Order: sequence, then structure tokens, then C-alpha cells
Amino acid sequence: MSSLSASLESQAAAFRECVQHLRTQIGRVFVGQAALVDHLLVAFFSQGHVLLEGPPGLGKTLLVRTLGEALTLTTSRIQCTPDLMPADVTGTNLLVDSPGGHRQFSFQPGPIFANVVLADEINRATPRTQSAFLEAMQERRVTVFGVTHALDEPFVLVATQNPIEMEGTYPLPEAQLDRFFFKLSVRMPGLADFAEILTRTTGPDQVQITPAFGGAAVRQMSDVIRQVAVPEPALQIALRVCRATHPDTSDAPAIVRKYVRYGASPRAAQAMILASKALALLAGRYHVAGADVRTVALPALNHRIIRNFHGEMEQISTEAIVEGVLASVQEP
Amino acid sequence: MTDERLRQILSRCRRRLLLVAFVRHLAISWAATSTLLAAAALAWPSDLGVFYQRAAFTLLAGFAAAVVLTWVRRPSMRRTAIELDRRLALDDSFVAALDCLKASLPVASLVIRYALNRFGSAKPRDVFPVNAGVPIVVMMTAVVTALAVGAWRRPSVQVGRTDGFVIGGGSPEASAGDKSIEPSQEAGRAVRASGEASGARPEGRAYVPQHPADVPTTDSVVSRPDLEVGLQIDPHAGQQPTTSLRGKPGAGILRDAEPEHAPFSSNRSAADGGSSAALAESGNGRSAADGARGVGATAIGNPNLGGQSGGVREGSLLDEAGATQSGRHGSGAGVNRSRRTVPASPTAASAGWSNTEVPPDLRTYVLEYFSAVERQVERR
Repeated sequence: MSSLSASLESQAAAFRECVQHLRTQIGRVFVGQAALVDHLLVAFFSQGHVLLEGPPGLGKTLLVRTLGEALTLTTSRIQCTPDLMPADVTGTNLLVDSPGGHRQFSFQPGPIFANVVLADEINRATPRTQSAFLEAMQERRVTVFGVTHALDEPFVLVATQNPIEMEGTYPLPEAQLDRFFFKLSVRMPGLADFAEILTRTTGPDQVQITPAFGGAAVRQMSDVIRQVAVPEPALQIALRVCRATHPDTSDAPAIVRKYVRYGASPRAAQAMILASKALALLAGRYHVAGADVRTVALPALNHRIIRNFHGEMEQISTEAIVEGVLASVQEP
Repeated sequence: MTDERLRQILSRCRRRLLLVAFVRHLAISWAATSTLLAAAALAWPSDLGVFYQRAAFTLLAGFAAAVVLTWVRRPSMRRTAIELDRRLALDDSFVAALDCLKASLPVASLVIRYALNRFGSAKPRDVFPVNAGVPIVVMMTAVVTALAVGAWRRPSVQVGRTDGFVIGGGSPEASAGDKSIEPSQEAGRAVRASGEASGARPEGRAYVPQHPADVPTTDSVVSRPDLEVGLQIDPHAGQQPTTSLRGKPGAGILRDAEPEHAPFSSNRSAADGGSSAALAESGNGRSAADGARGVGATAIGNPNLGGQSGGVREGSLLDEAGATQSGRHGSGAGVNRSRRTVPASPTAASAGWSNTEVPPDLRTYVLEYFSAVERQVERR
């Protein structure tokens, strides 16, 4: 075995160990919803941004905060409100006194300059502020007063939004939605999990999170994920799934033709492949299987499919559409 | 090392897949060709020798088709890897490993090793069992059915060749025809080359009177509804066929029929030329033949010849009984045969016409026939 393979193997083992550590630490605070946690970790190690959607009080913010605390990474939180300005996110130039007694502009980084950024209730920010996130999410840099500032690596933005209270909100535009790697729905916990939550949160004990793995380790793991091989059948599944979401293609199933206005962009296929790689590595494989692609199809697609009038009127969920797409795509 | 082992496994599995596909294709092609063989045996009966030749050719063609089909649709290495992954639920391990063989990826050795570990010590014969149970059962059923049909639809007896059937006054060579009579019809046939002498009265066979005066009355016929009309060939009489009624002795109708004995004759001059007019009728087959020199003295059985040959037009009547009909006319010893094979009534073929099985049309015909004979006699 070559040294490269040995190195890859050791890094893959470290990745699995890190993920297990995160699962454990998050599990100490965030009860249940293992699939949600796994998807969040997959997106995190794939360097993808996540949109968490769920009603209030389900622990969305707690989940993201715990993720940041479990790793020795910098975290920040942005509470989005209608009066939040772009400079509040990206930072701005301030006039400061220099040691020589002069005054000069100095860039003061905003909360976006962190490894893990929580944008709470992002749909309450104005479109202008929301657009401030665009460059950071896609280019991983911000430009202030004509000066471009690179963001720290790793950089992951986790935004939350409340699907119930739509008054006074600004729904995210499709272009910004497309930049989210995954959209994960936080649902009500089961009865047993609910009881555990009550027990933990109302007791005297405060859970202490043990941090481990710094930014460099996370970056290495992200590089290892990209080394995973993608065989042709898995690639074909990702392509077919992505194409089948477009109502004007011949591969589209009936539910897509009837209820979908716009299908998923190529970013969706990229997200599916990248997340499949992380999932394969978590499973101890060094190649992607078709089942991996199918597993990550729903979180990667459900915010990228735009329903038409009939779909919205008949309240056809994007989950149902994605399931129809997956059922229509045959193995190559 | 691992690369070589991966190739070996894939090659063995591919060969196994080829075998499985060949067995399946062979079963399908043999089933299809056997069905065709059975259909052909039903449509064109032939003797067993020809049938066996056809069967051998058909099975050979099916084998060749299976070989060609298997070769054309032979699985590629990628298809083999996909099948292997699917059968063993290997999560696309072998497909990925095959890709890694072609492309030098950093994780190639890890992927290949993972695939080999997942494959373990499985054997291709276990992974790809032949599982040809259902196809082979279908194939065997089709083959056996085809053979049974071929054996049941035995080749028809060639008139004038197999049993020496020579109808009419023509030479046997001239009458060796290409028409066939079903074997089941042989029992009721009254026309036999080895027939008895014209004067003989074999057991159970009617005697044909030599003189018109000997012609029985209608009453005697009516009292014997179980008539069978047959044509007797007297080998000693040359080309003079003998017409007889089969059944009880004494129910004879006509023998060495003179022209004036041919009722309903519209072409008596033609009938005059014949030395004999014959009416042959068996249990399920009959023949009509003219004399050696005549032209269609009798054309029973082929109504189309009735007008020109002066025969009794009863083709439609006898058609209903399902008989082999023969009408002949010609000059000299020539034979102009117009015969066709009609599916025989099994009851009539095996047991002859019993009392209850004589068609009413035949009875009517016989009555009319004898009435005409009586009128001829009275006119004289």
C-alpha cells in the first residue's frame, strides 16, 4: 500500500472519529433526531451551508451552537431583524486612532468572520441584508468599501427560519436558497425524546461540551472527503435525479410536470455528490454508492425545487416531489 | 496483486454470467423453435423421418440462435461488476474498483481492497446460479409437445405408393398420386389394389350384381341403411374398378357399371367410352373413377367434374361425411385426379357407418339412385 493510501486511510479514520465525537457531544445537549445531526455534520464537513427550518423552541440554535462548541472553532451568531444592515454582518471601516496620533480607517470584521456562523431567523432580514450573505456564502469572502476580505476556513453558515410566522418576513430568493447546501427540517421530537429534553433542561446539571479538533483538522477532513471515488452508476443517479426535477425534460415524472415550475440547479447535483462522499466515508467506504446519493437527495433538493401555482394551491410538499423523482429514477 | 485478483474475479463472474445467459437463451430459443415445430407438424403433416429431420434442424437452429444471442448480449466488465454488486449488495464496490483500475485515483487501492474484502471467498457459481428451472421446464414441455404432435400427426399414406392404392382404370404408375389419405381412413377404404375378385363376396362386403335385373330394389336398400359404398379394384380385371356397397352382403349397388347404369348422367357419350364406371366410397373416403378409356364416367366426389364426366353429382353430399374424394377422367390409361383430403369423422372411420350414422343425405341419394336404375330398366 502506498504512503498516500495510508495517509488517506488515517485521515479517514480521523474523520470518523471526529464525527463520532461530535455526535456524542451534540447528543449530550441535543436530544434525538440523529438523522438531522448526521446531515448537519455531513454538510459541515463538506463545507456546505445549511438552512434549518422549523418552528420555534425545537433547538435549532442550540444545535448549531453546540456544533461550534464541540470543535475548537470560532462561532458567531447573527440575529436577523428587519433593521439589520449589511455592515452589521460583514463589518465596516471605522475611524480609529493610530498609535502615532493619527486617525485612519480600519476594517472591523463583522460576525460573518467566524468558522461557524449562525444566522438566526434569516428570513426576517431585509433582502439587502440577505444579499450581504451571498458573497460570503459562495465566494467565502466579503467586500467592504472596495476591499475584499477572505473569510476564515472552514466557514459554514447555518441559517434558521421559522416557517410559521411569515408576517414581516422576507422569503429568501431562489438565488440565495440555491447557495445552501442542505435544507434540513427540524421536527417535533418523539415522546421519549421529549421527556428526555424536559429532564435535561429543567435539572440543576449544566452540560459541559468538550471541544476537540480544530480548524486545520476539519480542513483536512474536507480534503479527504473530496478524494472519495464516485463510480459511474452513482454519478448517473445524481444526474438523473437532478434532471428529473425539471418539468420540461423527458425524464421528469408526472408529479414534477404537474407541480414544479423550476427544477434543481447543477449546485444540487454537486451537493448530492459531495454529501454522498462524506456519507460514504462515514460508512467506511472510499467510494460513493447509489444509495448514498438517494439518501442525501431530499435535503439537497427540497429547497431547490420551485413549485408552480397548482403545487402551492394543492399544498404538494417538495418532499413528496423529491420522493416521486427518486422513485422514477432507475438504477443504471 | 489486488488489481490482478480483482480482474480474475470479474473474469470468472463474467464467464459465469455468460453461461447463465446461454442457458436462459437456449431454453427460450428451444421453447420457441419447438412451438414452431409443433405448429408446422400440425399444419404440414409429414412422415416421421421428415419430422425428425425438421426437429433436428429446428433444435440446431435454436442452439445457434442461443449462441448468437448470448454473444451479442454478452455482459461487459462493467455490467458484470454491476451485477456482482447487486447480487451481493456490495454498495457499488466492484464498479468503483473497476473505475479505479482505469483511472489512477489516490484512493484506488483502498477502493479495490474494500471490494475484495467485501467479496470475501464467495464463488461465482454461488453468486450467479444457473436457476434455469422454469426455462428448462418450459423448454422441455415445448420439446415434448412438439415431438408428441409430430408423432401424432403421422405422415399420410401416399395413395398408390404406400398401400398400393390405385383408383380407377389407369395404370398404377399413373395413379400414384401426390394426394394423401389419412391413416385413419384406411380402415374404411374399399379401394384396394389387392382387392378381391369382382365376383367375390367377402365377408361383410356387398356384392355388386352383374346384370341390371340383379339390381336390388329400393326396398332392399331401405332395409339396409347401413350401407357403405366402396370401390373394389380387381387386379385381374385390369382397369375396371368395382363399385360395391359395404355393410351387409347383398347390399351392392353397381358393378362394372354400364353407361346406362350411370344415372343423372349428362354426358352419357363420355360414359359410354368407359368400360366401367366406378363409385368408390369408404367409411370416410370414396373415389370415383371412370373407365380406362372413358372420360369421367363417374365423378362422384368432385362436383365440378360431374357435368363433364357424367357422374353422379354428390360431392357436397359426401363432403359432409368427410371423405377423400377422387374424380378421374382421362383418355386411355391416363389419370386426371382431383382429390382432396378432408378431415375424417373418427366415428365413421373407425367403425364404419352404422345404422344410426348413415347420413340422411346418403340415404336419399341411394334411393334416388336406385329409382333411376329402375326407371332405366323399365324403359328398356
